[in-house]
Amino acid sequence: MKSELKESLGYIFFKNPVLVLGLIIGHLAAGDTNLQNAAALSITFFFVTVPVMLFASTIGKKIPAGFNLVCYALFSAAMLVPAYSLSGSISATIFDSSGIYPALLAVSTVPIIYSSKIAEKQTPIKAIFSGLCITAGFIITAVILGAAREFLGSGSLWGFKLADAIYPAAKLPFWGFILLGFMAAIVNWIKEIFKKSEKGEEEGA
Amino acid sequence: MKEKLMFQNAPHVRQSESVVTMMTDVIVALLPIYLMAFFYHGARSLVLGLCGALCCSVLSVLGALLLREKPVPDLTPIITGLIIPLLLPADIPYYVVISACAVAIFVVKIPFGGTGSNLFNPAAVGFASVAICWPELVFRYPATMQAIEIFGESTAKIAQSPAYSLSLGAVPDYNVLDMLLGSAPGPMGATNILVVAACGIFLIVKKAINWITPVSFIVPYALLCLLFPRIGGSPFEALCYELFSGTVVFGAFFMLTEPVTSPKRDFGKLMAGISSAIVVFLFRYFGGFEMGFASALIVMNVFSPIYDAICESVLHVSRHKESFVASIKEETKLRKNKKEEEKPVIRVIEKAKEPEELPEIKTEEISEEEILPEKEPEEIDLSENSEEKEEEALQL
Repeated sequence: MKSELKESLGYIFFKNPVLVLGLIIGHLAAGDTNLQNAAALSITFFFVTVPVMLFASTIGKKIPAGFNLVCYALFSAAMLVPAYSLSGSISATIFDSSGIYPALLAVSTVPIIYSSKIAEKQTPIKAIFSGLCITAGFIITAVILGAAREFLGSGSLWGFKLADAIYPAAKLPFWGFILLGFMAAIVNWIKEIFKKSEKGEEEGA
Repeated sequence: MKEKLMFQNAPHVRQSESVVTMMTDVIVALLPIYLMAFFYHGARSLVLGLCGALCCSVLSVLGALLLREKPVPDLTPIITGLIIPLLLPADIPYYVVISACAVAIFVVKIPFGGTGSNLFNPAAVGFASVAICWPELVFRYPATMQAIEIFGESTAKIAQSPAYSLSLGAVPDYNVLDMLLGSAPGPMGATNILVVAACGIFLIVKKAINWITPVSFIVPYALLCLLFPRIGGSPFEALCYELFSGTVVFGAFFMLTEPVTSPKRDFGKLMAGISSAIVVFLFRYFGGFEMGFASALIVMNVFSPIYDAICESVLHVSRHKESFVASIKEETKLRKNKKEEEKPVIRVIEKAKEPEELPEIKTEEISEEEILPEKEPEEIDLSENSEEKEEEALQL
């Protein structure tokens, strides 16, 4: 039980879907240019992950093999409707201004892989918890990246002007990839430190 | 194996010269260009160069410390730091140069493993990044022969560069001689074509760079400009304008020849030069920016390992030519032998099909005496060894 809990919590940082597993990098690099886009992407990610994983853990096992992936993709596509309406309640334009990227999340590897590889083998409660942890990992990445790019690119946060633009190219997709690369390097560096300290503790014991 | 071979990153120098002397030659070759920039734009150009060199050196040391490596005394960051300001206008703000240097070192060099491991030309990427960020500053050139303030905002008169005029399809306002001598506005290090070419020849003579790369770039580029001129008038004039505007000549001698990102073999250099010429021409012909060289160079850097691989495979075949030819001969012999073995069977079958060619059978009458009497079969006694034979058979 404790190990399962640890494994689920690991999705937030050490098994981060973007920075460690390298999933949906393109969506973030191209679409996550400011905090508002980060919010739209995070809301969409929540809807295409948690409900789909719950669906997979409850009904997924009963669906014939090979057909389940199609069902998950269709279900996650249907989840775009609540994601759109929730985003609209925060700000009328954030979903539309994010372009095609929130919609692309529905048919990305996230709902399909997590549902088929993890959720199908879990109970519904565990699947929901894993989904929440995966979403938390994504939200942390998206918010940091979006905030950094918005501040560097236009000197503002959530549209509020704080300073002059420091580095306008930060809004471009190639800078999104570079920043994600740096973030991934930092995560790996912290991961190594943790591994070393764990080894040291084991040797001491 | 390791005792016999030296394992180290590029540049691989086989002459008595070392990497340090080679890099020193490049720095020496860049100094006259800075002197010309000082002549045309004042002391700010020298300060920009110092700023770039210092910034790149400090950042590379910081990068090494971040990677927990011992900082190696290396001249390559200084060269990168000296090249970047030469691609920019003389009145460029200092933060733009620092930003370009930071990108060159922290994005292009350090993450890939430092000197000798970078995939792209650091100066080209640094320039491209600031060109995207601040195009209004990077492509705004001050007129020549006016001193620009060392610090603070520039009040120098702005002039249209020949490269911009060409991108609009218009004939530049400057004559070819002005462009050769560097009196036309443009990047502070790339406009003095005569000085740049002289420095390039100095590098070739000192064997710091290989002549194949600049020649294989400039000749096809000139041919393309002659075939597809962007402006009217005489083709020779159009060619001169195309060659002397922008960073074509400077890039051919100082950026395309960078030992780390260019191919290692002569044939690879030739291929890289020709392909770069085509890509630079396409970028300048169809691209949005007037300076397409840096962007084209970044694209072509990707192909350098491929050119190297092609050259290595070709060289491998040529080195083992004798054994390669011998193996081919053996194969052909084996095939011939096989064919020869197969051929008689086919002939016999063919002959058998033709009843007319079958040899005639001669018949002669034989007398009864000539026929040998048939021998009666000897009786074999099976009783003696029959038991033993049975036992042997059972054992088997």
